[in-house]
Amino acid sequence: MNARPFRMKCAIFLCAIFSLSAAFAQSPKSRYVVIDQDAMGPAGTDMNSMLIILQSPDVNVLGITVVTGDGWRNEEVAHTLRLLELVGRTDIPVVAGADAPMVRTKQWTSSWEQMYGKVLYQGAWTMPRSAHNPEEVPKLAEGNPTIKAASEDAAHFLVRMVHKYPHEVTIYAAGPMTNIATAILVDPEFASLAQELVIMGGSINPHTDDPEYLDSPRHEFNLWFDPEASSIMLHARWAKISVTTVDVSIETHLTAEMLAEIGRSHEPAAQYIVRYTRKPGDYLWDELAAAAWLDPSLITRERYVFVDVSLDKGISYGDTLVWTEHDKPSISLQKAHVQMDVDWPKFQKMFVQLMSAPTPKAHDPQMLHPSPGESKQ
Amino acid sequence: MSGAVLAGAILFPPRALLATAVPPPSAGSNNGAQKVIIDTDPGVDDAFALLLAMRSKELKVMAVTAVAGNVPLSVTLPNALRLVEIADRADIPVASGASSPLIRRLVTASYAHGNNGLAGVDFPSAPLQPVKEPAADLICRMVRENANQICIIGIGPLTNIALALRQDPEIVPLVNSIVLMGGSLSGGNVTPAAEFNFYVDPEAASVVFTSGIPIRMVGLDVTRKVQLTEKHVAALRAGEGRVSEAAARIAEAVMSMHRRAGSERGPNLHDPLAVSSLIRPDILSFEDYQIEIETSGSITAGESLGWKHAPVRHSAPMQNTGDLENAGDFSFRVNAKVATEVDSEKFFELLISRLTTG
Repeated sequence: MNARPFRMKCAIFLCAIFSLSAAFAQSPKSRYVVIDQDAMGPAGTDMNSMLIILQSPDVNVLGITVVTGDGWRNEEVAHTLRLLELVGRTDIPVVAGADAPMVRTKQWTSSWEQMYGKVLYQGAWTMPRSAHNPEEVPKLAEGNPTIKAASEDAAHFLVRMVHKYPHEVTIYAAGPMTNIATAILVDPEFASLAQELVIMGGSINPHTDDPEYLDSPRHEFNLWFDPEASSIMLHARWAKISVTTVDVSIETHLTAEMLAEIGRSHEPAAQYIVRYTRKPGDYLWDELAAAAWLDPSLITRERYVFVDVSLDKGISYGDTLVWTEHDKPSISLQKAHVQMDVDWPKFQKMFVQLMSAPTPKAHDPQMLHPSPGESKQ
Repeated sequence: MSGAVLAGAILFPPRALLATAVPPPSAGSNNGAQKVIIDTDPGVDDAFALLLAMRSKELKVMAVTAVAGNVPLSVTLPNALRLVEIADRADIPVASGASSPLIRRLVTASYAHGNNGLAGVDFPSAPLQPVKEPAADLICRMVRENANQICIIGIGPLTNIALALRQDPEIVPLVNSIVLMGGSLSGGNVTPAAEFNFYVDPEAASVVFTSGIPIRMVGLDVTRKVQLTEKHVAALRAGEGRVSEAAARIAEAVMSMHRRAGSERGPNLHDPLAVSSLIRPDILSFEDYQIEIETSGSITAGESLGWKHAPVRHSAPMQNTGDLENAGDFSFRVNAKVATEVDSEKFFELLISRLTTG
């Protein structure tokens, strides 16, 4: 980035105001981002990652687009709206996107499993998340929102934002890639007009005993759930692609100590996380993707390789594919910055700091209701 | 549909139930005129389909949306504008759609339609412009503004329609029905397995058939029985007015293309046959099927397969895979009505009378 003198002044000014991590000085100008999430809450990786971005003072969140993935879209929209109410950021539009993958269906996937074996985690298709019907918004533990989603669809919102701020908007995508691919189909210029693409997705060679990856190391839910969308996304012409893989995510956990420390804060974000985190120990999948975008120095090792997703409907369907220049087939792909290792102590510190802080630009944050689950409606 | 089949059918998604329950769209209560959006890749037979639709009072053509298929979008879009102009229907908005399939490279059929898509007939370019709104956006907007009233006629690859259903999934229950030219239950034309429109964008076809929207599929099973002959060309030539003249010129040119290629038979009029089913319900007869589209085969992608009853078997499992026989889901779900019989004479009567009389 060419830091002009004006930006330098801004940087000094911002640092004076926000006595947060010095890392933010690297990005003096307010950065635009659209968050695309399969926002299954309350708390958990989808919601926490939004908080990482919302809690960062020099980020301008243009909107949050929602896609079926970890949960059903309509419920996810409600969790997102409620989170924004709680932290006082109801000025940010929430936009509903795809309610299902482009081509893959649950029924087809069930037949596939009979042939090739069980897929342990299937998001909204996994019980008990699929216990209610896809359209229904159940009673939420954190309370149901009173604000509503925007009337636009996610793809058009994404397209509109990159046209409004050409080459300035980061697309942060941490759910299945259906909305992103749809935006590319709606407007072939979409990818090249974005500043960069940041995704949580893919798995290459994770060192873990986790049964989800032990015997299927190239399988990762976000890219697997909608393989066609993932492939469309990875074939588009982005200026830069950053990928947070399972390989690096499994080095991170939301520990009991971190939760205890965050719990000392009475700010809305801290209270939300502490109250609704079901149990400590979850991987910080999407949080790392968000944090590494804010502070790239968190990543200590990366590979710069070509990434795609298998569209072969056989046993590899949806698996992560990786090539170097030496073995890449003759297809149009761009190299991606694939994160492999993280500075875990540094990330931990940043996470606790951000989550304990007051929410920047907050207006009228709502206190958590004394008896969670009681809807204000 | 026989009672035995109905009893064995597990009808869902819920809209599949409607597929068997709705009357033919033309019998709707729209003062007789069925609102339609025509998604097309003109294309010789597309030209006849568009002219037929625009000259039929039974249909209210709300818009024409162009897609890449028979020839690239850079040719199908101007062709759509030309045809609207020839029919003196500048009131119909024409929108530009997808220039390539969802995830595949575009394969065209200029060998059958000529490089200009109209068998080489050179019409002056139309003074009309496409609307700014992209095809998928226009489809979504019009469907929302006319809830449950619009029949989408898809006579090209289904890319635009699939994109509309994906970008705005809420329109699914608001679409009255889809009538499409595509597929075959009796072998393909571009490969032994696949009909051209489904071959070009199998993923889009799969999106449409899994949507739950009531579908009428007019495939090669019937369209290969409607062939243009010299007699039809002469009848078109005898007509008066610009539509008749344009149709006659295209018909003559495509007949001579066929002769040069050594074929004694004229082309199949695939697309106008699909349109005709909305004007004269007695031209085609339909049967209920569960249709699935092959999206995975290395030589069969785009093949359409139709089951008439349970069990809905897929390929036999490999020895190193699980036992589908005991665990698979073979339940039967009707998702389309497929044209199985055609009265060719009635079709040509309709086509020629509409194209030759003002």
